[in-house]
Amino acid sequence: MESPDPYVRGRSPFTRLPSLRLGAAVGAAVLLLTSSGDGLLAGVLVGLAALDPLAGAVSVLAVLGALARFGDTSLPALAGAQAVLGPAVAVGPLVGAVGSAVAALACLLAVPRRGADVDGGPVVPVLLGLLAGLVAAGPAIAGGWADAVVRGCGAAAGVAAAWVVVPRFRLPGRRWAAAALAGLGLLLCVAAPR
Amino acid sequence: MNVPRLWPALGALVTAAWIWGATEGDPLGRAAAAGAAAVVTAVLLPGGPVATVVLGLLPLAVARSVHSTGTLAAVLVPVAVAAAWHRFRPFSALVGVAGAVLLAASLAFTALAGDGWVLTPSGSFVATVALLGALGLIVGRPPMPALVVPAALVGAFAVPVLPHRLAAVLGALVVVAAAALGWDVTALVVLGWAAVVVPGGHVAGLLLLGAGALLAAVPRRLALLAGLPGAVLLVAAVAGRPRSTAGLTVCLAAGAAAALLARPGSRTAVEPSHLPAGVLLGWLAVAPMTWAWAGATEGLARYQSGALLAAAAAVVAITAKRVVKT
Repeated sequence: MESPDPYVRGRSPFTRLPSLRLGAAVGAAVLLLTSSGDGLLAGVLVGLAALDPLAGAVSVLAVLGALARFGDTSLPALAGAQAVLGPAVAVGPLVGAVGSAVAALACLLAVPRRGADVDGGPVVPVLLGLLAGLVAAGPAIAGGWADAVVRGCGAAAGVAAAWVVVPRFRLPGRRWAAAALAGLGLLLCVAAPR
Repeated sequence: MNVPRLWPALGALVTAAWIWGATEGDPLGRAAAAGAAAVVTAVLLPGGPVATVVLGLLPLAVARSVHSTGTLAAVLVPVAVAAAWHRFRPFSALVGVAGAVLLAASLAFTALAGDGWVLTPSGSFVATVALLGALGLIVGRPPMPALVVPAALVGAFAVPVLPHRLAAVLGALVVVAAAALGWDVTALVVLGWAAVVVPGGHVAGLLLLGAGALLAAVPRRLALLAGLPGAVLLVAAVAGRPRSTAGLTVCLAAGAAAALLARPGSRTAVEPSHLPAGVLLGWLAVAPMTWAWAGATEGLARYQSGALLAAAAAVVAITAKRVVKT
């Protein structure tokens, strides 16, 4: 018997996402989880996975803030620097730490409105949450138990905030505020003495 | 015999030659010529054999004229533009003709100055004329694809002759204006020219020029991703040196252009003839360190390892999705 609605979409984002976005999402997730590759590439892939220029721009600005603080856009270097010096939001100078925190907050606020991305479901919030965790508290997991715990907590907190907390509040102009905060975070990171 | 059906085969041969050229010695000219031939294969030419032969030979002539005699290029550029006239929008064709005339004029000036018939200008005036000519060949949407590689090559050699800071600032303005108009190829090529004069940005500029030329052959906004390795290298060059006005201006322009162009473009149908240039685009986006002709690309080691990892993961995920769906 033929289905009454043969065009009903599957429930999993894995099958619902168009191939291009799925590939970008998986690629970005692999880079962010393993701290491999270049942060700018990861930021662009997040934007591509979201099919959202604003999310991509905020991601790239957050990575550029990390570049201004730690001198490299590569994710292994970013993780290594945080493993040695401490999580970005906890290591001075204060202006730089605030800049990293603001950049991470911008990533969280850039999450698309719930329902706006039917196909993506939780994919984009998870990616932006992972990136926020990496920017704010992203030491290399291989550095030891303490680093792994910090990294895990940072990633979990980022994902929880982006997926669960932020979409619950209907803040007008939230996503434009995210863009402004990303710019502010970058400026603070650039202004911070190295 | 259906000639258009032979283009993908020719493109595949050219791509193979390019792979060989990119991994051997100092093959800038060969890379440019072969890359341009790949671009030509992507453009099915309704102008008949004359236009096809002329446009196919043009990049070779220009690549050769950068270091030796350029008489052939001076003759071929206007002819090629005229041959392709009917295929392009009047604005592109008109500006292209003006550019070709300026390019020929710069060549004549160089010869009159006693520097021989080469497209490597030594004076600011001739360089400016050559640059304006090259700009004319890439202006418009779409520009004439087969002319983008010669134009990019001429510009890359002309820009360093100008005052660097002035060239960077003017280039940045043109990049933003072109992006605002949706001229993605123009924006990427001019960004490459501007990057060439940024301290430490020469290799980044050449990679951006390569991406711009291939973008002309694959008319999809997604192809802009091929500009990412050049952008990463440019950012690293600017961040790794004392702050320079030229570097910061060009980086800001790159960011602004990316924001302006990050919207869906026209969805021109992808044809088999786009395959060679598409392969080169993917190659540039994923493994830019193998583009040896551009110069030292060690700064892209982390980028390349990540891009390869991400590409492998993406392929696995997309394959798995298709398997699950079936």
